[in-house]
Amino acid sequence: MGCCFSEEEEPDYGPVNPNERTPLINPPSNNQQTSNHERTNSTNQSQQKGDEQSALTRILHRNAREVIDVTADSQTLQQSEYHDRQRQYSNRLNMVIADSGRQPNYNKPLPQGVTSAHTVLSAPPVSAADVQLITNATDKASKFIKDIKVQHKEDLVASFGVP
Amino acid sequence: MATQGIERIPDSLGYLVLTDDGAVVSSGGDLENDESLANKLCKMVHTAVGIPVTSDRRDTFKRLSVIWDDFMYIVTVSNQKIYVCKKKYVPQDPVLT
Repeated sequence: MGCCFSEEEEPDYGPVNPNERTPLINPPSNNQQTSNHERTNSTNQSQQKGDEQSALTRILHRNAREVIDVTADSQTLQQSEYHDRQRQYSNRLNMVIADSGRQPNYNKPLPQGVTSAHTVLSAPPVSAADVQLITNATDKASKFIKDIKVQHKEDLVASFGVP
Repeated sequence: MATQGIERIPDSLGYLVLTDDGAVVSSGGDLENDESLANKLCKMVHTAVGIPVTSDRRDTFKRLSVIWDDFMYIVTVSNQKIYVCKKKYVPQDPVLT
Protein backbone atom coordinates (compact mmCIF):
# COMPACT_ATOMS: atom_id res chain seq x y z
CA MET A 1 0.00 0.00 0.00
CA GLY A 2 1.55 3.27 -1.06
CA CYS A 3 0.93 5.26 2.05
CA CYS A 4 2.99 7.99 3.54
CA PHE A 5 3.85 5.83 6.55
CA SER A 6 4.85 2.71 4.67
CA GLU A 7 8.62 3.24 4.82
CA GLU A 8 9.70 4.75 8.08
CA GLU A 9 8.72 3.13 11.32
CA GLU A 10 8.68 5.68 14.06
CA PRO A 11 8.65 4.51 17.66
CA ASP A 12 6.68 7.49 18.98
CA TYR A 13 3.32 7.06 17.38
CA GLY A 14 1.45 8.32 20.39
CA PRO A 15 -0.38 11.60 19.90
CA VAL A 16 1.08 12.81 23.21
CA ASN A 17 3.53 15.21 21.62
CA PRO A 18 2.72 15.55 17.92
CA ASN A 19 5.48 16.78 15.64
CA GLU A 20 5.99 17.02 11.88
CA ARG A 21 6.65 13.26 11.67
CA THR A 22 3.53 12.20 13.52
CA PRO A 23 1.45 10.17 11.08
CA LEU A 24 -1.99 11.55 10.40
CA ILE A 25 -3.47 8.09 10.31
CA ASN A 26 -2.85 5.37 12.82
CA PRO A 27 -0.93 2.74 10.87
CA PRO A 28 -1.20 -0.57 12.80
CA SER A 29 -4.98 -0.87 12.72
CA ASN A 30 -5.11 0.11 9.06
CA ASN A 31 -2.47 -2.38 8.01
CA GLN A 32 -4.25 -5.16 9.80
CA GLN A 33 -7.50 -4.23 8.17
CA THR A 34 -5.88 -4.25 4.78
CA SER A 35 -4.35 -7.70 5.15
CA ASN A 36 -7.68 -9.09 6.34
CA HIS A 37 -9.43 -7.58 3.36
CA GLU A 38 -6.88 -9.01 1.02
CA ARG A 39 -7.24 -12.48 2.42
CA THR A 40 -11.02 -12.52 2.03
CA ASN A 41 -10.66 -11.00 -1.42
CA SER A 42 -8.31 -13.68 -2.64
CA THR A 43 -10.67 -16.47 -1.53
CA ASN A 44 -13.58 -14.67 -3.13
CA GLN A 45 -11.65 -14.35 -6.32
CA SER A 46 -11.22 -18.07 -6.76
CA GLN A 47 -14.85 -18.84 -5.94
CA GLN A 48 -16.62 -16.33 -8.11
CA LYS A 49 -14.47 -16.24 -11.17
CA GLY A 50 -16.29 -15.10 -14.24
CA ASP A 51 -18.99 -13.34 -12.31
CA GLU A 52 -18.95 -9.85 -13.71
CA GLN A 53 -21.02 -8.37 -10.93
CA SER A 54 -18.69 -9.60 -8.23
CA ALA A 55 -15.69 -8.34 -10.18
CA LEU A 56 -17.18 -4.89 -10.26
CA THR A 57 -17.96 -5.05 -6.56
CA ARG A 58 -14.42 -6.12 -5.89
CA ILE A 59 -13.07 -3.13 -7.79
CA LEU A 60 -15.41 -0.88 -5.85
CA HIS A 61 -14.25 -2.36 -2.54
CA ARG A 62 -10.64 -2.05 -3.49
CA ASN A 63 -11.08 1.58 -4.40
CA ALA A 64 -12.97 2.30 -1.21
CA ARG A 65 -10.17 0.72 0.75
CA GLU A 66 -7.49 2.74 -1.01
CA VAL A 67 -9.14 6.04 -0.28
CA ILE A 68 -7.48 7.56 2.75
CA ASP A 69 -9.66 10.03 4.52
CA VAL A 70 -7.15 12.01 6.50
CA THR A 71 -9.68 14.36 7.99
CA ALA A 72 -11.73 11.58 9.53
CA ASP A 73 -8.90 10.23 11.63
CA SER A 74 -6.57 13.12 12.37
CA GLN A 75 -6.58 15.02 15.59
CA THR A 76 -8.14 18.43 15.37
CA LEU A 77 -5.82 21.41 15.58
CA GLN A 78 -6.62 24.58 17.38
CA GLN A 79 -6.07 27.89 15.62
CA SER A 80 -3.25 28.84 17.97
CA GLU A 81 -1.52 25.50 17.44
CA TYR A 82 -1.14 26.27 13.76
CA HIS A 83 0.95 29.31 14.57
CA ASP A 84 2.97 27.47 17.20
CA ARG A 85 3.77 24.71 14.76
CA GLN A 86 4.54 27.14 11.97
CA ARG A 87 7.07 28.89 14.19
CA GLN A 88 8.50 25.61 15.40
CA TYR A 89 8.93 24.19 11.89
CA SER A 90 10.41 27.35 10.43
CA ASN A 91 12.92 27.44 13.30
CA ARG A 92 13.95 23.89 12.54
CA LEU A 93 14.16 24.66 8.84
CA ASN A 94 16.40 27.63 9.53
CA MET A 95 18.61 25.47 11.73
CA VAL A 96 18.98 22.92 8.94
CA ILE A 97 19.73 25.61 6.39
CA ALA A 98 22.31 27.22 8.68
CA ASP A 99 24.00 23.87 9.31
CA SER A 100 24.21 22.92 5.66
CA GLY A 101 26.11 26.14 4.88
CA ARG A 102 23.58 27.16 2.24
CA GLN A 103 22.27 30.67 2.09
CA PRO A 104 18.51 30.94 2.35
CA ASN A 105 17.45 31.96 -1.13
CA TYR A 106 14.94 34.62 -0.29
CA ASN A 107 14.21 37.55 -2.50
CA LYS A 108 14.57 40.98 -1.10
CA PRO A 109 11.26 42.39 0.08
CA LEU A 110 9.39 44.51 -2.42
CA PRO A 111 9.27 48.26 -1.95
CA GLN A 112 6.09 49.88 -0.77
CA GLY A 113 5.23 50.79 -4.35
CA VAL A 114 2.38 52.90 -5.59
CA THR A 115 -0.71 53.60 -3.52
CA SER A 116 -3.30 52.75 -6.14
CA ALA A 117 -2.51 49.90 -8.47
CA HIS A 118 -5.77 50.47 -10.31
CA THR A 119 -4.86 54.01 -11.38
CA VAL A 120 -1.39 53.02 -12.56
CA LEU A 121 -2.65 50.04 -14.54
CA SER A 122 -5.51 51.97 -16.17
CA ALA A 123 -3.24 54.79 -17.33
CA PRO A 124 -2.60 54.97 -21.08
CA PRO A 125 0.36 52.91 -22.33
CA VAL A 126 3.77 54.40 -22.95
CA SER A 127 4.07 56.25 -26.23
CA ALA A 128 5.33 54.47 -29.34
CA ALA A 129 8.24 56.89 -29.47
CA ASP A 130 9.37 55.79 -26.01
CA VAL A 131 9.07 52.15 -26.97
CA GLN A 132 11.11 52.87 -30.09
CA LEU A 133 13.74 54.66 -28.02
CA ILE A 134 14.15 51.75 -25.62
CA THR A 135 14.15 49.19 -28.44
CA ASN A 136 16.91 51.07 -30.24
CA ALA A 137 18.94 51.53 -27.08
CA THR A 138 18.76 47.85 -26.11
CA ASP A 139 19.52 46.79 -29.68
CA LYS A 140 22.66 48.90 -29.61
CA ALA A 141 23.61 47.70 -26.15
CA SER A 142 23.27 44.04 -27.08
CA LYS A 143 25.22 44.61 -30.30
CA PHE A 144 28.09 46.27 -28.45
CA ILE A 145 28.12 43.67 -25.69
CA LYS A 146 28.57 41.02 -28.37
CA ASP A 147 31.50 43.01 -29.77
CA ILE A 148 33.38 43.07 -26.49
CA LYS A 149 36.58 41.09 -26.91
CA VAL A 150 39.44 40.43 -24.57
CA GLN A 151 42.73 41.62 -26.00
CA HIS A 152 45.84 40.04 -24.63
CA LYS A 153 48.40 42.73 -23.85
CA GLU A 154 50.83 41.52 -21.21
CA ASP A 155 51.20 38.79 -18.64
CA LEU A 156 48.82 39.08 -15.73
CA VAL A 157 51.31 37.50 -13.35
CA ALA A 158 54.50 39.50 -12.92
CA SER A 159 57.47 38.18 -11.02
CA PHE A 160 59.51 40.39 -8.74
CA GLY A 161 62.99 39.77 -7.53
CA VAL A 162 63.46 36.61 -9.52
CA PRO A 163 66.98 36.52 -10.92
CA MET B 1 -9.49 39.87 -1.68
CA ALA B 2 -7.16 42.80 -1.96
CA THR B 3 -7.24 43.15 -5.73
CA GLN B 4 -7.70 46.93 -5.53
CA GLY B 5 -10.35 46.61 -8.22
CA ILE B 6 -7.93 45.66 -10.96
CA GLU B 7 -10.36 43.03 -12.25
CA ARG B 8 -12.52 45.94 -13.37
CA ILE B 9 -9.96 47.78 -15.45
CA PRO B 10 -11.48 48.77 -18.80
CA ASP B 11 -10.17 46.89 -21.88
CA SER B 12 -8.28 44.45 -19.65
CA LEU B 13 -7.76 40.95 -21.08
CA GLY B 14 -6.69 39.41 -17.80
CA TYR B 15 -5.08 40.14 -14.46
CA LEU B 16 -2.86 38.65 -11.79
CA VAL B 17 -2.19 39.60 -8.19
CA LEU B 18 1.00 38.04 -6.80
CA THR B 19 2.79 37.97 -3.48
CA ASP B 20 6.43 39.07 -3.37
CA ASP B 21 7.58 35.47 -3.96
CA GLY B 22 5.39 35.07 -7.04
CA ALA B 23 2.50 33.09 -5.57
CA VAL B 24 -0.82 33.85 -7.25
CA VAL B 25 -3.21 35.56 -4.86
CA SER B 26 -5.88 36.29 -7.41
CA SER B 27 -6.22 35.93 -11.17
CA GLY B 28 -8.70 36.17 -13.99
CA GLY B 29 -9.28 36.38 -17.75
CA ASP B 30 -6.41 35.26 -20.00
CA LEU B 31 -4.06 35.09 -17.03
CA GLU B 32 -6.18 32.83 -14.87
CA ASN B 33 -3.81 30.65 -12.80
CA ASP B 34 -0.95 31.42 -15.17
CA GLU B 35 1.81 30.47 -12.76
CA SER B 36 4.59 30.29 -15.32
CA LEU B 37 3.95 33.86 -16.38
CA ALA B 38 3.65 34.80 -12.71
CA ASN B 39 7.12 33.42 -12.03
CA LYS B 40 8.66 35.18 -15.01
CA LEU B 41 7.11 38.52 -14.16
CA CYS B 42 8.06 38.12 -10.52
CA LYS B 43 11.71 37.65 -11.50
CA MET B 44 11.48 40.70 -13.74
CA VAL B 45 10.02 42.79 -10.93
CA HIS B 46 12.74 41.73 -8.50
CA THR B 47 15.37 42.60 -11.09
CA ALA B 48 13.73 45.92 -11.90
CA VAL B 49 13.43 46.86 -8.23
CA GLY B 50 17.23 46.73 -7.98
CA ILE B 51 17.72 49.24 -10.80
CA PRO B 52 18.03 52.80 -9.54
CA VAL B 53 15.75 55.22 -11.39
CA THR B 54 16.81 58.41 -9.63
CA SER B 55 19.75 59.40 -7.46
CA ASP B 56 17.71 58.36 -4.44
CA ARG B 57 18.14 54.60 -4.24
CA ARG B 58 14.82 54.21 -2.46
CA ASP B 59 13.00 55.31 -5.58
CA THR B 60 11.94 52.44 -7.75
CA PHE B 61 9.93 52.02 -10.90
CA LYS B 62 6.27 52.87 -10.89
CA ARG B 63 5.14 50.81 -13.81
CA LEU B 64 6.74 48.07 -15.87
CA SER B 65 5.43 47.54 -19.40
CA VAL B 66 6.21 44.38 -21.32
CA ILE B 67 5.09 45.21 -24.83
CA TRP B 68 4.49 42.74 -27.63
CA ASP B 69 3.18 43.44 -31.12
CA ASP B 70 -0.49 43.37 -30.22
CA PHE B 71 -0.72 43.01 -26.44
CA MET B 72 1.17 44.05 -23.35
CA TYR B 73 1.58 43.26 -19.69
CA ILE B 74 1.53 46.19 -17.32
CA VAL B 75 3.02 45.51 -13.94
CA THR B 76 3.07 47.59 -10.80
CA VAL B 77 3.92 47.07 -7.16
CA SER B 78 1.61 48.19 -4.41
CA ASN B 79 1.45 47.23 -0.75
CA GLN B 80 4.04 44.41 -1.09
CA LYS B 81 2.06 42.80 -3.88
CA ILE B 82 2.64 42.61 -7.61
CA TYR B 83 -0.27 43.60 -9.83
CA VAL B 84 -0.29 42.53 -13.47
CA CYS B 85 -2.76 43.51 -16.15
CA LYS B 86 -2.83 42.17 -19.70
CA LYS B 87 -4.13 44.61 -22.28
CA LYS B 88 -4.36 44.97 -26.01
CA TYR B 89 -1.53 47.15 -27.24
CA VAL B 90 -2.59 50.11 -29.29
CA PRO B 91 0.26 52.54 -29.96
CA GLN B 92 -0.57 56.01 -28.68
CA ASP B 93 0.93 57.90 -31.57
CA PRO B 94 1.98 56.79 -35.04
CA VAL B 95 5.58 55.66 -35.36
CA LEU B 96 7.57 58.19 -37.35
CA THR B 97 9.77 56.94 -40.19
